[in-house]
Amino acid sequence: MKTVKLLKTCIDIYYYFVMIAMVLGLLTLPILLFTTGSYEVNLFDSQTVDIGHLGTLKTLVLIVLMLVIFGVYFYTIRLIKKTVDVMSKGNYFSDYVIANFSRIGKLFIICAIGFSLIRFAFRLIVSSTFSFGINTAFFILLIMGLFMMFLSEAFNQAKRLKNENDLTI
Amino acid sequence: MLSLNNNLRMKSSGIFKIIHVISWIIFIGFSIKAGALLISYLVSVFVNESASSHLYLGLDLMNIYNLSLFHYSGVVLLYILTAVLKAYLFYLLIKVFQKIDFNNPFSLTIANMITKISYVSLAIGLIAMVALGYTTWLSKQVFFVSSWNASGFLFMAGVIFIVAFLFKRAVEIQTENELTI
Repeated sequence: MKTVKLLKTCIDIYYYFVMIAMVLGLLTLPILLFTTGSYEVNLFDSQTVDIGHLGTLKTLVLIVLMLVIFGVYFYTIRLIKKTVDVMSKGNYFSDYVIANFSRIGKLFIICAIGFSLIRFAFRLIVSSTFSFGINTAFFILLIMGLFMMFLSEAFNQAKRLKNENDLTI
Repeated sequence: MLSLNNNLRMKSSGIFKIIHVISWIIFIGFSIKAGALLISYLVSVFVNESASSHLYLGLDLMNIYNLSLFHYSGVVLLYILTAVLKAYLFYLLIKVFQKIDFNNPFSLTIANMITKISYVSLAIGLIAMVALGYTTWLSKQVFFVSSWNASGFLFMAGVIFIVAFLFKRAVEIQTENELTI
């Protein structure tokens, strides 16, 4: 129980950090539409890309794409936070937790594809190269997503076992 | 109970096959990366120093090599260490799916292996954080590009830890259930 609470605190902190980053992004990214100065964007710990010199339409496409994908990622983190909140109260195998696991899995897969799509769009718009590569982050998110979906199925069985156990007592 | 097990087996087998194949691909990929980095490092130190400019898929550490062999070795060691740990993480995942029994998915062995995966992921995250700090400090002296996905692995460690905790709870319930019957 203590570990879950500790984990809950860590995930809460991460959630609020992501939320602050999202709010800052929402406030600063639209400024790009009205500026021609240099603006470097760091794409997931890799090299920075300058998108300050791009035209309004191109910048708008990139901003919308980034906001949508990061929005999905933020929603996934929020779902994890809510699931851990429920778990910290002792409801480990409730329908809510199991359904959320499946949802988190699907959202992770969407994020994996979305992040690759952002990279593809950046390469296409900024450096005019048509290439679609997959990196470690894509595989990790994909694996986590599929793993979550599998676990959701497995925990359905755990829920049945628990109900059976409760009835026996 | 039997129909539920069959249901679980049928629904999971598709997902299971995909994860298994992807895990093998990533495991082989990271093993190749670790081996290639090690060989390139040894070549750059003992045979030809220009190898440091093409260590692995465009990784250029020539400037650090020229700055100091100690720092160069340190950075390459961190790269190799994270690649080895990442390969080990996916090896553990492959093992989980080799050992899991869909009729009886909750076993202590699997729960312990999932816990181990979360610890390995945490170790990768922490090493990547140290590496990020180290390379940021180094990049103030020489120019080079490096990438460490520290936050991703730390987050993954947290999520897998929750999964491991739930799995252990499920094992307890299953054991209790079997004892009652």
